[in-house]
Amino acid sequence: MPGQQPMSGKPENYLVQSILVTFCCCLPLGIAGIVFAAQVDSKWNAGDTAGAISSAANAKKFTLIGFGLGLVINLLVFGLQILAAIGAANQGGGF
Amino acid sequence: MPFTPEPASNPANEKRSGVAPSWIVAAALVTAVGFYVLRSFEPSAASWYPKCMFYQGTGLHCPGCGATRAMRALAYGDVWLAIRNNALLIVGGPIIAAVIIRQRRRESAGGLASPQLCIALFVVVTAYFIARNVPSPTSSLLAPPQPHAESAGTETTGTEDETQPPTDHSPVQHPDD
Repeated sequence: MPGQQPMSGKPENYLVQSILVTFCCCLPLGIAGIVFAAQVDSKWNAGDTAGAISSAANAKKFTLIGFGLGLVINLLVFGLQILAAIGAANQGGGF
Repeated sequence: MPFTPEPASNPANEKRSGVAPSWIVAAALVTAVGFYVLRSFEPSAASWYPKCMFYQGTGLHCPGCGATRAMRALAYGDVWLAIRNNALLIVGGPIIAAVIIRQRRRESAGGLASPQLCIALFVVVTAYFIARNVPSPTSSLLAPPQPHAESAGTETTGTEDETQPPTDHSPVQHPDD
């Protein structure tokens, strides 16, 4: 959630978004996002600000790609299902 | 003890709780719409609900598989069926949310970040993912119940309007689609 940046200035680690992506079926990318979130946190604790920022960029990349991919594929499948349902109705139904 | 109403729009109060009113309204809307849709339409193999691509591609249950059915069971008040469909979401979800919120508050109070939390979540999700498919995706206790299991035992589902015969209805997935 934007506007909720911690005062310490730690870059957003996209942990929540990664978990949501994992649950919404783009599994490998979501799990990669969780791993990068762990990297962000450990580098930040070690004082490696630059490393934390680059891990955060990776976390963001993977989560966004996962989300986009999941959305696109789900919409495609959804469209196919609608078409299939219409086709089935036309073939077998007495409409 | 006199009742002192909470000033909901007080910025300081808002900051303390960390949740903006717009998020609460959005959450309420999603809940209401979800409740209505889930009670109106049943998630089944033939329905128009989005299905898990991972499951369709591999036959394995991903950590999110059964989430829609779990939410429908919740909408019908059948908590046990909800847990059977996706235990990590129903049981673990509130815990995970609480832990993450607590960690975020700590960080905004100047505390250390917690890679341990991320790693723990990674382990939990991965372990759950494996456990749902062992010994097999159909016989794991953590996998969603099979809709056409020969005997569901004492498990009465919350879907009393479900009158599908226990036959293999597979016109849904034509391999040549």
